[in-house]
Amino acid sequence: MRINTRLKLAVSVPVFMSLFVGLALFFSYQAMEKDWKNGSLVRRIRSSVTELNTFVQSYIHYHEERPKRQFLVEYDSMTQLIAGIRLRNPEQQRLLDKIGLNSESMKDLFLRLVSNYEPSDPAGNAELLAKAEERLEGQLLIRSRDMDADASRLRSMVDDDIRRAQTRTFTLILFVVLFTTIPLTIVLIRTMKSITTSLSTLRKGTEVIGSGNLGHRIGMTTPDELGDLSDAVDHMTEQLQAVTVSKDELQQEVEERKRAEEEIKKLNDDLKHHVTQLEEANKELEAFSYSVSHDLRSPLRSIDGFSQALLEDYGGKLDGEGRDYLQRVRAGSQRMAQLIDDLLNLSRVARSEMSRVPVDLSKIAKDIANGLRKSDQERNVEFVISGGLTAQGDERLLRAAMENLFSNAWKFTSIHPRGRIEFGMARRDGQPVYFIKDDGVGFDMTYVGKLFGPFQRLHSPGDFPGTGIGLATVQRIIHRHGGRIWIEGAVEKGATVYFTL
Amino acid sequence: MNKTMTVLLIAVVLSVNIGCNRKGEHGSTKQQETVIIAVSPQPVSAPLYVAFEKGFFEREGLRVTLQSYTSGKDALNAVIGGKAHLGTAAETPVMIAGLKGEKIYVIATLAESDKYMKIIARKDRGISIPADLKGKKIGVSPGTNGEFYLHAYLTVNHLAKKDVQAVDVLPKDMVDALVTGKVDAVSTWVPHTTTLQHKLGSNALIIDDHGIYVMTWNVAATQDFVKSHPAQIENFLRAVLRANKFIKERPDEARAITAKHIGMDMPMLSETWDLYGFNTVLNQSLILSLEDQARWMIKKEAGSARRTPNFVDFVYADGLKTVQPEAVRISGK
Repeated sequence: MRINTRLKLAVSVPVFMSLFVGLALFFSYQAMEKDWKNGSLVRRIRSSVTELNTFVQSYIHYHEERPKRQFLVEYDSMTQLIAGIRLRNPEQQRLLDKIGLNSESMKDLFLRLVSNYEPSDPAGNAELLAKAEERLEGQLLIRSRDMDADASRLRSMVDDDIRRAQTRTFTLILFVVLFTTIPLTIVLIRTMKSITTSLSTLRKGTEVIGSGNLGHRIGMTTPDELGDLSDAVDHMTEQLQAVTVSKDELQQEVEERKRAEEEIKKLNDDLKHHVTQLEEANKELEAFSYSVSHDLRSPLRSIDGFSQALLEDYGGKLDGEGRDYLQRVRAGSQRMAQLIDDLLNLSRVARSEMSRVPVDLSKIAKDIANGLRKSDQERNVEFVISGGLTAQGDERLLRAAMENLFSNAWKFTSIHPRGRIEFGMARRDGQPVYFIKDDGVGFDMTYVGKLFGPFQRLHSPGDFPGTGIGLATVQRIIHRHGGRIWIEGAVEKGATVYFTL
Repeated sequence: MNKTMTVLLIAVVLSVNIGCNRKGEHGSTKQQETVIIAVSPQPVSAPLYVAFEKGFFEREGLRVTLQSYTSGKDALNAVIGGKAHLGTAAETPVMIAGLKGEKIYVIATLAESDKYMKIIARKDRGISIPADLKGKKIGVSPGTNGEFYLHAYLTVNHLAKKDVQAVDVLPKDMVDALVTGKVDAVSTWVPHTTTLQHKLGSNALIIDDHGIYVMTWNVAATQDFVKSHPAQIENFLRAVLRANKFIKERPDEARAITAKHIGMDMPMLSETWDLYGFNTVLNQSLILSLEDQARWMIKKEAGSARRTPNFVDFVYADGLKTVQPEAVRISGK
């Protein structure tokens, strides 16, 4: 049984018992009150019967007026008393009725005695009167004794009723007390014992768990609240144990991550170091390249200048083949100079400081288009340039990049009688993507990966002049702006260069 | 809780078993003893008939045989003569036996009534008021309370015995004596009074002066029997008390039993049934009544040297006191 139920029982049973005993006492008291009242009335009747006997005796002895009158007064009083009583016990009521009838007979006998003593005919037979008187007196005595016995018996019966009512009340209370107090005490003792034992088990269990033994379980199976508490503690311990295991794992993971971070940091540091080294090497390489390029220009100019001087001064002494060779020397040196210029440009693009400002790309495009038209006014090329395209960037570098791209478009549309070059902007994933599109010779997308490599060319210099440095330079400029660049195209269907900034 | 319930259950079972055993002690395990009771077939003998028919005597260990006698006087004589152990009689035969020095005991009064005796007269004999009895033949059974009632009635009405002509009539002949006109009136008891009222109809004058006499219907035995069989007396009284209870609780059945034994119609029996009370007692009034009648008897026997005995010595109250103490109201008992 649950403790709550036991406690409810422990409270409700005494309440019920008190109520029951209270009600029993109330009704018992009411019954006893009535019995006491009846007892009091019966005692008065008994007293009246005694009084009537006394008056009869007194009258028999002295034949005086006083006992006669008192007899009649007492008789009336007793008659009224008897008429006012109703007894529950039919036997008692029968006795009471008998007393009433006997009292009537007694009164009748008494009046006949009086009448016999005070005859209307004084000249009557004195002997007969005396015999009648004797007979009446004898009957009066018998009646009075009978009444007295009945009144005495009635009183005993009523007194017995009172005693029985008291005994009944006492027995009832005793019964209720015995049959409720004893089981209640047993229930309370068992409850207390059960609670104490359970609490002790719980205390010991929690002490073991508190000492760190999370594998310990209290395991109480009592079907009450303390059993529930034991289950809850065991469940809590189980959870705690699981959490503790997770914590250990987490700690291990944190440590692993720390180690990983340290490794990453170390790698990063190494990388930075390598980058620095690389940058330094790059700078050295660029400086070397620049220096080499710069230094190469002077001998090249000498070769070209002296070759030109040889042609001009000694051209007549050479045959056609000789002059052709010289021409080729010049062309090679000039081409090499161009290459050196391009390499220097590429190097400058990588080395130069950037200054980010708003740049009007549309305007730059138009300037470049105008320049190209002027360079070859015979070509029929349509420029379509979207207006108002601006971007944040280094204007000088962006102009260089766009010049390269327009120059390529101009170049690769040259073999077509008519050309179309478009500069515009589209949006991809919310980002502005600029493009320069032409309808020139295009290229095979198979080789698209080679396009941005320095000195990489998909066409022969005979078809389209160039050093193969242009797109590499453009890519470097775009990368320095943090953007991306890619090309889409197809053979004879033109090409489109896309870039972001 | 289960242990508690078990203990309570055991307690209840033991209580029931003990109760059964106690009941058994008062039940059929008693050794049966034969008791012969001489009974006058009158309504006041009802407790004995009921106890007999309902097996209350047997339950108390008494194997009872009822012997029927036409009057209490005869029944008491049967007891005195050793023909019966117990007998029913009014106080008059007891008083006479006492005067004769018979060693008898009254062990209980079964019933009292002041309306049991009547004088029934024939109107066609010129009797319309009590005073008209003067000079008339009045049937009476000597030695019975019928004789005493007639005496009491005449006395309180200032008549002398010689003013009427008393005729001895046996109780069994009382009805015929009046109906056939052998006598002008009779002084007798129930059931003869009731029978005569019905037989004479409007010709009957019923003289009922209930104030002058209270009849007591008693059970008597020889002193030797009582002294040697006190337990049987107690058992007998227990059976009678149980019969009284039965009469009060189931009066119709009690009347039917009584009617069967006394040979009286149920309607006739019912007319007087409520007069008897059926309360087994021993009252001081019995002693007074016996003394009163003894004085009358002594005076009647002119020149008798007998003195009124102490009738308290003719009452055995220990039995009734044992089974129902409050029923005894006799000083010195």
